[in-house]
Amino acid sequence: MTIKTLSVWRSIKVVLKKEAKDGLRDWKAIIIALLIPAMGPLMIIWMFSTLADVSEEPEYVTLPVVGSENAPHLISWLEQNGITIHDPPDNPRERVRDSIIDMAMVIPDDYQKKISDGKRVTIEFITNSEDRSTGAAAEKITGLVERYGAQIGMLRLLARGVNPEIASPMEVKEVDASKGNAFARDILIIVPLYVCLAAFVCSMMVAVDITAGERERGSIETLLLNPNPRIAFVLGKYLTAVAFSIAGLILTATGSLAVLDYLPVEELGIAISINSRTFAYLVITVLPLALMASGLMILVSSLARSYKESQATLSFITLLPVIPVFIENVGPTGSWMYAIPIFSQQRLLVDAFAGEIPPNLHFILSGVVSVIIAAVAVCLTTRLFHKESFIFGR
Amino acid sequence: MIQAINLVKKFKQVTAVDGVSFEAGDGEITGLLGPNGAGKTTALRMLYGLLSADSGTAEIDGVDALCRRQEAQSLIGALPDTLGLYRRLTAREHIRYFGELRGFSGKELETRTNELIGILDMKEIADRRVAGFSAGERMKVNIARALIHGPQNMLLDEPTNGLDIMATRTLRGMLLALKKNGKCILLSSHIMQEVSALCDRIVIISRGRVVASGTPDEIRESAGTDDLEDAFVSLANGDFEVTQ
Repeated sequence: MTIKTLSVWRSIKVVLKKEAKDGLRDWKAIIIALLIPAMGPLMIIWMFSTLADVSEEPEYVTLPVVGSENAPHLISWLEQNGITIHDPPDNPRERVRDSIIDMAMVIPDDYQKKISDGKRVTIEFITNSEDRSTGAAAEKITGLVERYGAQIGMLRLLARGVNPEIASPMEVKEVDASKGNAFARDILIIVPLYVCLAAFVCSMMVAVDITAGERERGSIETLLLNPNPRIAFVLGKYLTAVAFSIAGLILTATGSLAVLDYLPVEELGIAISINSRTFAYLVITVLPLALMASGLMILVSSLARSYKESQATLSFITLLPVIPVFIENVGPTGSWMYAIPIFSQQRLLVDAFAGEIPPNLHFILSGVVSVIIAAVAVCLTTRLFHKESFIFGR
Repeated sequence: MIQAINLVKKFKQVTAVDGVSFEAGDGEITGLLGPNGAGKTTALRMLYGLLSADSGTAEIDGVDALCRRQEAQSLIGALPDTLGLYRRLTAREHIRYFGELRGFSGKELETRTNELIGILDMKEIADRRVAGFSAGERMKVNIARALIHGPQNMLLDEPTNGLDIMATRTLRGMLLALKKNGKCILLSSHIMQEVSALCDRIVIISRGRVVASGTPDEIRESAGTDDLEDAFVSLANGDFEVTQ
């Protein structure tokens, strides 16, 4: 007869080993866990490709023109500026609407007469605003025509002995003083958002399986018959969820930063320095959040009466990281903000990406609050594991 | 040795176990017999330390199962009434997991695992995941992991539920072998034949109370009938005076 009881630490190790092995064999859970790490980088690539299309300088623009013979000077002006003029198809409006051609221009027959008479000519420029990829080309043509028109106007005023500046008393000169552009701002939100999401989503299925699943399968009673401290079972399970969370956030951070590093983002005027320090800062900032997320999910999932109920509740919890995106720039700001988990982590990362290293106090506050919540969640779960209604009740 | 001394357990208004006392000795198979809802499962749960008693004590080899839970649990192997397995683990991994939780490792754990796999004739299924196992195969996994630490005391809650004849025979053979080795075995059942075929001593429980206990012969005698099933029915119906 051998009497053996394991210490807490060795018990935790045994439980962790088993749950991790079990979890890694659950391919459904793995697929869901990999969703966020895959989506983050894809999202960045997608955003980049749509933005890159729009902001690219159109190299080769063709323009079908109706009545090009009416305005030979205008046409040659356009041609000088790199626009290739085509003969128009029938029904240019319908064709543009149906995206068969990108755009078309209609020059009226009385163009020459009105220009000679010093009157105003209306030139129709047909575009399709739904087609964002042609926006830059359309802008270029509009600009060219306007500049041509302005020159004629100036000549007319000069011919009448009037200083052309009288007709244009104001000039607007755009000076872009922002650090990046819209894309940079979105990236600054997207990367922290996805890394925080990963901390939640990647351990969700595992958390459900090892708590609500264990109860629903009816294996909890047999498990707790083993002479190990109850807290060892809780911590073993909790650390399994934490491991999945951390693996997910590291994968997401690696993927997102690798994509940002690979894409020619500097062409869009964004200066994000990506190096091992950025990566380390990202991971260390979100780490306490992974501890908190796993703790909350283990607790909530243990409270649930069934696997399904637990999954439903947890899918709400996994959406928590999205909330800060909506409340961004709303309400007063201050150091106290960094005491709000999820919000604080995203804030810290946005600050860091924007080139402002936040004060250490904010960093510590953010981490400590999350770790405290994690600890409370683990304690409450351990109390649950001692309850008879938890072991036997469903 | 397993001892229940005046165990009482109430769930809100219902008194599930109402002053149950009995003793299961070493080298014996003791049967806890009673109709459904008699309080057998509740009594067993207190004995293996998962339920607290409102009063009374449960002792395993003299160790209080409720005050010194871990110590008492290290002295028992148990098959509770829910026997869920982990679908994605193999039979061997189940046995190994429980062995590790009980503090075994390395070569000793391998030897014990292989020994049980041999005794329970589960070599062919040992390295298969348990997802598609039959009731009999699942029972073998459960027995193997309950016995991995070689416990002196064995508690089984309705162990033959859902088993076919072959599996039931394997289980009986296993229990008789354990008894021969001087182990203390306590099993619950609502099936008369099973208990009479296997048990040296019978404790009949009805409505949370022990209504009779003794060898099968003593039970027949006290109920005043030759047929054990008749005895069970008359005793279970609450004919207390006859028996005590």
